[in-house]
Amino acid sequence: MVSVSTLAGSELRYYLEGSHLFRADFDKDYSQTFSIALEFFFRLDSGFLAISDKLLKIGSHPWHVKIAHTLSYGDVYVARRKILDGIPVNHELFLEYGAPPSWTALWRPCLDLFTIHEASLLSVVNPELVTNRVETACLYCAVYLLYHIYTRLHYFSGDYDALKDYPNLIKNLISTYPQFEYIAPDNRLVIGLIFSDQILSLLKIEELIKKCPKYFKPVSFQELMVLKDFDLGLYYGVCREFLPSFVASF
Amino acid sequence: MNSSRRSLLHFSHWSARVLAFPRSAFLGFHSLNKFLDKFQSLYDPRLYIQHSFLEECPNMIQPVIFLMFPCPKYRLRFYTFIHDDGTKSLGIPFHLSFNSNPPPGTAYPFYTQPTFRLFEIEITSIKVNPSKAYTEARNLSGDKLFLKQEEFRLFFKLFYIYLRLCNFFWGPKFGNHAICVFHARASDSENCLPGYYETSNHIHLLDYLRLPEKDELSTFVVRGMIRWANLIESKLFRKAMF
Repeated sequence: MVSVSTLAGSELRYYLEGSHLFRADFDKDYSQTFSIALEFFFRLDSGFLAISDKLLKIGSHPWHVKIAHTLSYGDVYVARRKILDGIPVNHELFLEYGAPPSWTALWRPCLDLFTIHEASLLSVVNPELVTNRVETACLYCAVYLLYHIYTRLHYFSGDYDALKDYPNLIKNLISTYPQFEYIAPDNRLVIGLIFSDQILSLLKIEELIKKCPKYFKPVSFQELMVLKDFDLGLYYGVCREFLPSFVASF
Repeated sequence: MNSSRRSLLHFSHWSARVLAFPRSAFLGFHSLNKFLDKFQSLYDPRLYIQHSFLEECPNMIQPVIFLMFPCPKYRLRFYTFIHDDGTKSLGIPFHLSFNSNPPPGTAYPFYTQPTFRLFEIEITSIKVNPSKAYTEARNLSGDKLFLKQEEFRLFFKLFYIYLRLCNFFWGPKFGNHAICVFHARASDSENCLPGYYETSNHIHLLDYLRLPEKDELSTFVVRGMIRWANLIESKLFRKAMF
């Protein structure tokens, strides 16, 4: 029997059998599994926006042209309950918790503050991971991740007033933004989302850029063409945004 | 990213003139149109530049058609080519030529209209002339292909829920090739690809990713093309269905 926090921190995994992917049990060993990740990009007129790690505290790079997160059971649980049941993922929760949680355990404040059992976590998460519900679960998680990004940007920039006024983000709005899927060499099944105008405005990023410009920098198309060679997500993201479509006609 | 780059390096004659656009034409929806307005059509010879020059020129983007041959019986399986060095690829790349007898490694495209609208360029079919790397390739049964000049009609829609249109920038030296993936129709493929109807000559896309000797371009195509969310199945659902 594993603890709830071990389960919440376990990555969602799938294994390949024949031509299909099946949900892997979190406590079993498989020869090869695939995890699910989300990658966010913020689009500007002539390129993407890079955000300093001093504001995001993700820790992987000093600047983030893309914000990536591998989904765990805890993420899907909190995201689903946040969206469908309205459990709070807001400043009150983070104030009670003390600070925004580590990027690898975003679910922790909710699980620490509410009593959740392993069985109830699995009963919420497992139905979300099958057949055509995965994409919807990923969109819930995208909303939930945007809340965390909002919290981190404003908390670490000292803009505490903004934390009292959370944006109203909904799944249907997120799904209107360009998406792409790819399979990363490290066996991550990735959904990339490219956000622009309305999301930048809802997250109050434009205001933050004015307040503390040193934490943001635009990355031009020319620079992206160089950077993309080092990152497959950026690679497909840049192509999704800047390449004309060549289509077959009948 | 460590897979072989061989197929691309060999895929076109250096002296051939191939279609290319300046990189600045890709900056926005109207940039390409603005650039192309200066030309009569996509067959305008001024749009075609010597390949050897373009390969050294990061500021010129060369559209390349990556032609794949879907298995007629099973979705997500594609006809596979084995090159001399053992590298396997899942399609043939072609630069675009304005010559109706295209030189090796290039294809002559038939457009719906040789002009363009917004960001879309519509192609109905291509007359191809594969390069030596492909004419001498073998299929998975070990049969030599003997590919020659052929015409293929193009499509993509049949597999749409499992695959997405995949266009991306790529290049062995600079990212200066705009790769556009198309599928050939079975009726065109059966005459020129030996054993086309045998499933054993096609590899499943997810199995391809597990091969040690992958072609780099094919690998990028596969990674970006699979709509993996549609491949997720439930064991319970399967039991109920079958």
